[in-house]
Amino acid sequence: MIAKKIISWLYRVLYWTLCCSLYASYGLASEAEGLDQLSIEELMDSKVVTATRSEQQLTDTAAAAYVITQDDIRRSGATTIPEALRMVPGLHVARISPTKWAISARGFNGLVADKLLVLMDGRSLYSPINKGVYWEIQDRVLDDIERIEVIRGPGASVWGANAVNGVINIITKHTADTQEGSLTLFGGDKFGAGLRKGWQFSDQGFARVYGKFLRDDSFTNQIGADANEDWTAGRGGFRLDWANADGKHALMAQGDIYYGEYNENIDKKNEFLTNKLILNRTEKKGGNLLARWNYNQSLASRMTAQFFYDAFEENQSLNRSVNSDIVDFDFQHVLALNEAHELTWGLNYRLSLVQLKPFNGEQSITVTKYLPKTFVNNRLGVFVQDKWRWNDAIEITFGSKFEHHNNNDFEYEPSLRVLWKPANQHRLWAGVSRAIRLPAVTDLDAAPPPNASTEIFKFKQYENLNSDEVISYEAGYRYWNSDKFSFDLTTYFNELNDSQPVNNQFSDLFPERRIKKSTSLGVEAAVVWRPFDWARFQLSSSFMELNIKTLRSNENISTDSISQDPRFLVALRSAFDITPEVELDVWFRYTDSASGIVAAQAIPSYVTLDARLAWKPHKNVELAFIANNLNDAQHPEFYEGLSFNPLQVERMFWLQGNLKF
Amino acid sequence: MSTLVKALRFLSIFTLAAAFPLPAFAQDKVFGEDTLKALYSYKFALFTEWPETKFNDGNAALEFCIIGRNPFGQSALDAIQEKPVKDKSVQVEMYTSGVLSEESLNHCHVAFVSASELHRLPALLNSLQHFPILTISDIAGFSSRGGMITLIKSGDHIQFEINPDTIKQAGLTVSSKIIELATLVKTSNKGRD
Repeated sequence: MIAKKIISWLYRVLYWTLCCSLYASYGLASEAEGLDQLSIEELMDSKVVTATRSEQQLTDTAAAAYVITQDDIRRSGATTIPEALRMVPGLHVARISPTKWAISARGFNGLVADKLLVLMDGRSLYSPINKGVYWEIQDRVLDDIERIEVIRGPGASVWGANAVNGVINIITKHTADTQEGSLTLFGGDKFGAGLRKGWQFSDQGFARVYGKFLRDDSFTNQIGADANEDWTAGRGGFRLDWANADGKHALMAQGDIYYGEYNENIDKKNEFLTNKLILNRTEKKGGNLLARWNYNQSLASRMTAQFFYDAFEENQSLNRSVNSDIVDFDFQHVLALNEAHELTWGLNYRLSLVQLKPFNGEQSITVTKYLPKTFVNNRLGVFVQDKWRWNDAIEITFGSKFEHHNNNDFEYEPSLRVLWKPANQHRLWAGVSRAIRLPAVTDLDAAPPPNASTEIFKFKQYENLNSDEVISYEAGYRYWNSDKFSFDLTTYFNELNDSQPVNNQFSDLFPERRIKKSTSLGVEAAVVWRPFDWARFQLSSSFMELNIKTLRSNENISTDSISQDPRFLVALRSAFDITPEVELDVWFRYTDSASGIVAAQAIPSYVTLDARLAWKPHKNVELAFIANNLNDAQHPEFYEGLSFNPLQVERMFWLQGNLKF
Repeated sequence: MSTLVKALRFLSIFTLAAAFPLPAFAQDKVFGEDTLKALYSYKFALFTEWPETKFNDGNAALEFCIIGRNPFGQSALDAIQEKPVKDKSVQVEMYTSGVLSEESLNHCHVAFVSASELHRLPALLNSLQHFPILTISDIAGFSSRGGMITLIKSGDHIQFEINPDTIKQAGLTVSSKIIELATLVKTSNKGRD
């Protein structure tokens, strides 16, 4: 039965991607032929087309890798980072409300998407509070982002715990590349402004500062009334880069501070069914500081030492007051041993502190209270990896990370990957890896103290809480014919073991565990086709069959659990350079229906159509008109927890102007 | 499922629209910047003489080593991959992490230094200058800082600078046909010590 279903879906994925790719490859002569015959004079006379973008995809990576370039971000019309992530094939990006996002790859998505690791310039954005990313506080002047590298699948052998289903690396531009000022203004259904200025302070020393302000739309609820969930946030930051004269040492430092006010509705306790929502005004603020030292010891050896500090505080008017502090030290050494072996090893130490602070909001009886407490987590990790060029055609990468953590004395996260280059334009790869997700503060059990009548809960940690584990088997194939056409196919099979305590409010004596055993099988495919220099299409689709079995330790019975993930995603992104000054982008996405925790929460399938029309009246000025959800007045994308009244993502329009000076 | 059908229909319209090619813009020789740079690099290799000992090392490939993050798109690499240079054919080798052993370096005939290596350039050039390897880069001032050939984007065109001294010191000879077309520079001490 399931096999039949899988076959039918597989067929669909292949049909969607191949129907176009077969057409595309038809009549596609190898463009590169004969170019080597051009004389040097002809080369000197040749013109450079700036509109022709390089496909800098990671073709030689033995993983499901994808790169969002600065140009992609600009043409997507995105105003924040999560919006830009919608471009990644196989990544499920759903907006729960104006402030909340559910982003994950390969299943288990949710507000708390705990299996995806996200880093910005080497700083982990994975919050120790909610074991996921607070997407609403992650932002930058998007023009400062050089690229976003996304790896679907485990990346724990290098990146460590929590890189279970994917790793996202957001990389900002070097300050030498942001010397010119940039001012962006946008307004319409949402509005905001971003300003960046750079300068050079010594021969090899550069700096920039930036500031950004954003006020987002408030969305509507199911019955079409304004949900009043608007938010306003501002942030600022800097980055410095410096290198010494002989280029052996380079230093980088950067920092941000941010403050935002977010209106978030919450359900009244015990009144889920009546849909009573009350406004929970939330203030989120924080900052971070990162310093990195690069030492180029020799041509064959390169070291990086990095330190960061990250502070975050969330104060809700009704619910809780919590803050986190992270201190992290990291060291990496890349060493070319000989022609065949490139060795990388590293050390990492992280101290994270989560404080549940005394609640000093409005004294409301609607929400559960808790006892203030501080949770300290220590993490120590070491990793080693060898990239072995076995011969010209085969490259083998193997290694493991080993970690020590408060809850777990020892964790191992090994990985073995093989890349085969059978011919110039073909790549085949396969990999096996194990990755883990470490227990977080929110895996703690809330249990009543002996005097249960007070209704004050304390958080209690299961000392022997296990990590969630995945064993992942992956394989992929890539083909390209110059920049005109490329095809990328990945399949995976994951076995996951999760162990989570049940929110046991009745008995402190018999803590119950639920063990989830899941398997997921998936296919992800992407085709890029550029029939002309002025037209580019990217078609991607992914399919996943996820089965979750939950075993209750007390009753010893196993039941099927529901995932909130859509099984099928399709996107078609097209970019047209109508004239050198006018660009049109049309972006279509289909998301399959998804189940909810209860039947009433099922999300119907939806189609979205986004468009952007941009005009460059002057080489330093760009004006764009951007529309989101053109085809649909409103639709829900994701339910959070037990909410029965999800917010509706609306049709939105805005105008955006950018000035370089 | 009706949404899916709708979606499929929408998609076919797109495919069809793309199936009837509109007249492309009038163009003669127009390339992506990276393709043009790759073609230039290939041309330079064609007009370079390596010392006998280096060139006749039994290696059937002319190794084009990219040091640092790969700046070339696929079409750029396809344009030069396996193309002939004398009795050898071009083989692109990538050292994306920027590190390579002396053994690997010994095999490189051309080293293209990626812009990602900008800030360690002096250290890198110090290591490279002892080898008979043609060094090319698009980092501004590459030649005057001790490199050999710099590719420079100037308006819509790509031009190049050559430092004849560094080429000579490495024991290479670049044909006068190329030298005549280049802007010549000398090694300046700025940023070297």
